[in-house]
Amino acid sequence: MRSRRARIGLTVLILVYLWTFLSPLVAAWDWSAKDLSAFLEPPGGSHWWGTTQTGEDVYAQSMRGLQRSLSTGLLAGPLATVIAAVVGSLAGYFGGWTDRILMWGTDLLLVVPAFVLVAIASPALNGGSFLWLVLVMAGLVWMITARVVRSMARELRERPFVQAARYTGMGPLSIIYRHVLPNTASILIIDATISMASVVLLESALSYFGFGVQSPDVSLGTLIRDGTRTLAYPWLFLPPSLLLIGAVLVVNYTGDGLRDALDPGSERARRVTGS
Amino acid sequence: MSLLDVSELTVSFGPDEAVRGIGFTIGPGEVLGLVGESGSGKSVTAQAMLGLLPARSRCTGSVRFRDRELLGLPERELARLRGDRISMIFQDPTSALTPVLRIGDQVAEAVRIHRPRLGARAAEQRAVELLELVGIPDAARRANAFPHEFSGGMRQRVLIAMAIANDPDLIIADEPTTALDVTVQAQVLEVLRTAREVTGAAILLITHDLGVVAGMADRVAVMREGQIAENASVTDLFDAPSSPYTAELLAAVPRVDDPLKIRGELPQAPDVLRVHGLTRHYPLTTGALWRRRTGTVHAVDGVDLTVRAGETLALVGESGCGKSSTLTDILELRAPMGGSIEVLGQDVSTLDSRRRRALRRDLQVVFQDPYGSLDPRMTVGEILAEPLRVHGFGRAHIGRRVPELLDLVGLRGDHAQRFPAEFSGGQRQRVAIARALACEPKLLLLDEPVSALDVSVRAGVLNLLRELQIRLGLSTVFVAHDLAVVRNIADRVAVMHLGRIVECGPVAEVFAHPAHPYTRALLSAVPIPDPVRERARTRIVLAGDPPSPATPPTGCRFRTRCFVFEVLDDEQRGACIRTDPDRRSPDGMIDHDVACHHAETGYLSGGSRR
Repeated sequence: MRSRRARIGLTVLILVYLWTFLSPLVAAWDWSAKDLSAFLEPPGGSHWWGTTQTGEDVYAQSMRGLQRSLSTGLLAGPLATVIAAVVGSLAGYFGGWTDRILMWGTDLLLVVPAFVLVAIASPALNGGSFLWLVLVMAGLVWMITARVVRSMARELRERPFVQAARYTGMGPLSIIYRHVLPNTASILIIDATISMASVVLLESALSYFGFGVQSPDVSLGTLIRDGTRTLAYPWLFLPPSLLLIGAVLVVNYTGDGLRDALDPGSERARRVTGS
Repeated sequence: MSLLDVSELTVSFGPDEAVRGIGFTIGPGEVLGLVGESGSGKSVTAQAMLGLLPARSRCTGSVRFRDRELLGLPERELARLRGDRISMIFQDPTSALTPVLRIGDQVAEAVRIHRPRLGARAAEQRAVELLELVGIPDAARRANAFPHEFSGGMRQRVLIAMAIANDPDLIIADEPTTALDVTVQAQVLEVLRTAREVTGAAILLITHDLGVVAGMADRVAVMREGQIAENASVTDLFDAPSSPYTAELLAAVPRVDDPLKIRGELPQAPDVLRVHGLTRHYPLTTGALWRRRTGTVHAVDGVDLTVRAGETLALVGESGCGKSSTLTDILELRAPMGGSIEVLGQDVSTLDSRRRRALRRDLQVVFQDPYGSLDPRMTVGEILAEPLRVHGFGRAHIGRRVPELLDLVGLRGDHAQRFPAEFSGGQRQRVAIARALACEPKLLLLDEPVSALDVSVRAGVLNLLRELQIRLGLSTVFVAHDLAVVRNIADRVAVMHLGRIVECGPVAEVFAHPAHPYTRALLSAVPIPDPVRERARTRIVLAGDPPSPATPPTGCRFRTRCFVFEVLDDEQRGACIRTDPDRRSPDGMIDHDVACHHAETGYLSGGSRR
């Protein structure tokens, strides 16, 4: 990988994610435990980042929340990209009615506000598993990428090497798999990272409004919501908020780095190779 | 005293030197041809002279124009010179004109920018005069048109008009005719000659085409890898080139006046491809909200073709004549819009998908663009294996076949691990040819396989194709716009004009005795890289542009440009206007047919025009 930014971003992301799993081995408190001798303690002692109104450890909860948010992002981001790749390449390569029907569905999802959809679906999902949440998230962020992939596939379809494969007798699905998708791969990889960031944000926002992760489990969104009921105790909302901002920044930073490395058309890449 | 004196000119982009210490001079009124293959630095030289290079480049040396140093001159001073004393004609006439301004205004602007005191009316008048000078018919009215209403050739004329607007001392023409068809190229070169006579300007003619140089230039400088390989007068250069590179280039150019390499009489063989009455029309629609069909583009309109086993048929014509559409229709192996196609004895409209797929094995194609026809994400080995895999060959067979194919097209076995980006254009085209041959097809379709290649590379690929034809006994259809290219590779040639085949016959016959006026015009328009012959021959320059395939003329489709039609009397013209001529063999011609009412009447042979 040529881009230093992508390397740094990816390393930080992996280390932080690993830490959210390793942290319980080191920390004194579990995220679900309640310390009945310490309510609303400021940071210090065995509660590194303080405690909440019910004596929960803010550090342990923040780590748990970050883990939840990142897991959602890491699963739903790539999943959204897969959906986008399949829908976009089928629509773009086949054109005609396939294109019209697939794009009609895509546009419908684009114009219906994601929040409304989730709000309607939320009661049904209540108590549903974490994987359901991932599926819903992925289902909400793939549409724009699908449109990009579609236009690339339309363009690739006319390229001589695709024509040559067609005139050799290769079936359309093999052509999509062997020629169209590999040539959109750089966009897809970049996009998987960027949708990861949007999924992390979306998940937090949904959880904030009570549609996402349900108690007793926590995510950064629920922590920020619970912490901001009153602003008198900054250690309740600052850690999850800063972690959320940090996570999104690192993911975006990685995505930008990947774009520079993989997309020769971007400004920075041109400057690097052109000099 | 020389007008322009370039010495020790070096242009570098970062560590790469595009031009390495070149020098040449141009005298007043002299035409210097700057010849070279792509990447030789000829365009960069011209841009450096006018200060048009991007900021990250560095120029050293000296460019003196009338004893004034141009390198390092401030932008304001340069701007005053550009378009006034030195003007430039670019290769792409489409992007050199502003699409939203009227033609007349753009020419008038070129006049006024250096003559600010000239009134708007006077500038407009001058613009119309200039447009008339470069042969725009009905110039006063056409001056109000926008660039998109002009054809490529007409746009290039407008650019020439702008270039001579201020009576410059030097005109730099950067590949002025490369984007144009041969017949239009002949017209534009004619205009350039007129422009030179009128202004007395010197011309720096940058081109890759030695034929163009032979007809236009006084002196020629041959560039190679940023250096000048040879600089000599045009007759000396073509007679006795002193640099081996020039000799190599001259030998590599296919010529319409080459002696033919006769392959001998072909035995009567069965037909491998039979196309009858092939038609492809596209609807022409207008309207943004409600699409209305307003016309029909007759891209292919009744094409008849036969290819016999083991023979090469060349399909020749200008851009837009429908030759690529014809090829695509054959490749689709589906029932065409009109007419019938029979490949290896099977009517394609009766094929089911299984038999169509099986037939694809015997029918392969090589495309024009060597950069687009190989998947950049696959290695050469994977690319060659693909058709074999599709047709169910085993791993062991593929492993043996790939090195064999590479060897067949003159590449090394270890090239299989590399990606297309590591190869030059010519090598990529060899890979594309190897891929087409992978399954040992019986019929190979070549769509302008060498048009995108440089002269010296082109010769190599053509030799390879010729050799493969003989070794493998392939039947091929070779689509080209360049008659010189097909001359030595084809057995028969079919000339296409506006969706029809107007003449078809053995190569030797058609080149020696072209019977259709269009074929004659095409042959005459191809420049010959020999200054003596090129300047001595009488040239047929067709008037006007090819008619649009949306509104083909009634009767004979060539009559609007036909020089024979011009000299006919009204009675004889009637036949041309009313009836579309069928293809038939005139008296004494064997296997050679022509679609012209007047093929026998002597207007064509011996040039006995009234």
